[in-house]
Amino acid sequence: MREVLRLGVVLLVICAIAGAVLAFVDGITSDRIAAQATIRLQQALRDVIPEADEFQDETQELSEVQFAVPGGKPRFATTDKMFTGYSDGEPVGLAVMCSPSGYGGPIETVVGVSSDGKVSGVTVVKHSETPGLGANITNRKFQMRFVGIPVGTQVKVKKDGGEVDAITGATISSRAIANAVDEALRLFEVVRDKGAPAK
Amino acid sequence: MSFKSEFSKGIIKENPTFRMLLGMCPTLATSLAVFNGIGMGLAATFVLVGSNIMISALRKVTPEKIRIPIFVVVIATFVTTVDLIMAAFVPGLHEVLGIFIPLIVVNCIIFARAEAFAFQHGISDSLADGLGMGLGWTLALCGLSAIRELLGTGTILAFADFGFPGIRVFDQSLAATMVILPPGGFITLGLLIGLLNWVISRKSKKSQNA
Amino acid sequence: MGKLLVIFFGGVLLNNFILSRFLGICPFIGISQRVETAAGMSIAVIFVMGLASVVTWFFHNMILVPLGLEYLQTIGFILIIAALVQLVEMVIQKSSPPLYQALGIYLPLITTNCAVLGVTLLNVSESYSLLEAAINGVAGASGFALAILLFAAIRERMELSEIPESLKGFPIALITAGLMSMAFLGFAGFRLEALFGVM
Repeated sequence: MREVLRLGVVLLVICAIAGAVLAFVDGITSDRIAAQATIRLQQALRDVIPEADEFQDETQELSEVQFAVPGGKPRFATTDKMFTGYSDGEPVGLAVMCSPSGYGGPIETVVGVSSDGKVSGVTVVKHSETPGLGANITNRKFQMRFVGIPVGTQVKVKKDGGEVDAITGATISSRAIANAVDEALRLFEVVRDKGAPAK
Repeated sequence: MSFKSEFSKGIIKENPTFRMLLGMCPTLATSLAVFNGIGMGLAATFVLVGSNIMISALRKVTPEKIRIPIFVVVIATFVTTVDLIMAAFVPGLHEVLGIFIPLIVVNCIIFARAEAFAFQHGISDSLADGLGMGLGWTLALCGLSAIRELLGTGTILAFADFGFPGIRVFDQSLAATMVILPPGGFITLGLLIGLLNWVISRKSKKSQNA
Repeated sequence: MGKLLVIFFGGVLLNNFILSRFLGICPFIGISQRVETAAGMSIAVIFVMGLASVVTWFFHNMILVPLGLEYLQTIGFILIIAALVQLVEMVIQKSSPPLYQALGIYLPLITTNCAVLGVTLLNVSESYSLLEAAINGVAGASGFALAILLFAAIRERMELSEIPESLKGFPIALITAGLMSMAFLGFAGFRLEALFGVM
C-alpha cells in the first residue's frame, strides 16, 4: 500500500510540473497564435484587392442577403465572411471568404471582386488537398486564370462546360475554386444591386 | 564512451532512419520538401534532446515500475511546447506538418532512446545521444525530401512561410508528380535504403578481399 | 447517414491510414510476416481505435474545451490511450483467456501505434460529432486492417521469390507498400459525396 502511494505521489508531482510548464508556454504563445489567423486574413485580403488599404467586415450584410425566401436554402452556402475594401475612404471592391469542399476537405478561399465587377484576385488561405496535385491551387499561375472574369459569368471548369482550365489531375480541387469564384461574383451582384457600399 | 562518439554514432552508424528503421510514419509523410523535412527533423531533435536530458536527470528518482508513464509525460510536455511554439512563429510550416507534430509523442525513436539510453546514462552522454540521433534523423529526412521535392515538383528549397517559391531546376511539366504522392514516398525510401545496403555490402566485401 | 458512409468509405479506401496518410507504418511493416498475426493485430487495433475515438471525444469536448485547456490535448490523449490499452488488456485477460492469448502480445504495441493517437487528433481537427468520431475510428482501423492483411498475404508469397540481396527485408517491403498505395490511389476517382447524396 505504501509503495502504491509513493508511486502515485511521484507520478502526480511529475504531472503537476508538466502541467505548469505547459500552462506557462501556452501563456506566452497563445496571443501570437490567435494573432496569426488575423495576420493571414489581412494578408489574403490585401492579396485579392491590392488597391485597398483598409477593410471593413461586412459579414452582417451577408446574413441579410443570404436567404431569398426566409427559411429557404441559403444562396451563398459556402460563404463565411465578406469584407469591403476601401482606398482613401472610397470603396474599391468586395472580398469574399468562402470554404467550398475540395478533395481533402474545405478549402478556405478568398476572392476579390473590384468595383467594376471583375475578379481582381483569388487566394487560398487554408486547404488539405493532395500535395503535388490538388495543392497546386495555391499556385499563382492557376489563381490568375480567374482574374478579370466579369460579373454575370457562370464560372466553371472546362470539364463542366465552363471556360477555366482545371489543374491536370485535380479537377475536384479546381472545381472547388471555380465554385468559390462563382459564388463571390453572384454575391457581388446581389450586394451591388442592393446599393451597399461595395458598388 | 566520449561525448563525440555518442554524438556521431547517430548520424551514420546507427542512423535511426536508414540503419535502425525507426520513425517511418513522419519520415514518409513529411518528406515532401526540404524545409518540411528540416522543420520536422529539428522539432523532433528538440524533443529528443529535451526528453533525453530530463529522463537522464530524473533517472535516480524515477521508480522502475512507473518509468513508462513518466517517459510519456516528459516527452508529451516537450512535444506540446514545440507544437505551440511552431504554431506561433512558423504557422505555415506548422500547418503543413499538421498532426505529425503532436505525433512525435509516439515516435519510436524518442521512446527507444529514452528507454535504451537516457534511462541508463548520464546527462551529458544523453545530450550527445539525443543530438546525434536527432540530427541523423534530420539529415535522413533532408536527403529523402530533397530527392522527392526535386523529382516531384522540379523545384528545390521552396519555403512558403518566407514566401520563397524555390529554385526551379526543370519545368513542372517534366516533374514526376507520383514521387511526392504517397506511393512515391514508399518506393523512394525503399530504393534509398536498398542502395545504402548495397554500398555497405560492397564496401565490406572489398575490405574482406584486401 | 450519408455523411457517416462518406467518412467510413473515405477512411477505408480513399484516405487509407497506412497507404495514403502514413499512419501506423511501424506495425504495418513489423507485424505483417504472417496473415494470422496480422489478423490478430487488426482486430486489436479496430477495438482500441474505436474505443479511443469515443473516450477522447468526451475528454476533449467535456473537459478540455469547457476549461480552455486545449493545449493539454496531446498529453491527455496519449495518457488516455495508454490507460485504455491497459484496461482492455486486463478485461480481456479476466473475461476471455483464449482471446487474450490471441491478442495479448499485440495490445501493448498499440499504445505507440501512431494511427491510434492520429485518429483521435484528426477527429478533433475535423470537429466530428461523437458518432462521426466513432465511425472515423472504426473506419481508420478497418483501413489499417485491410492494408495489413493484403500486405501480409503478399509477403508470404514474397518469401519464395528471389530478391536482390540488398533489397531483402525492409526495402522490398516498402516498395511493395508503394505499389499497393498506387493501386489505392485509384479509389481517388470515387466521388463519395455524390454517391451517398451528401452535398
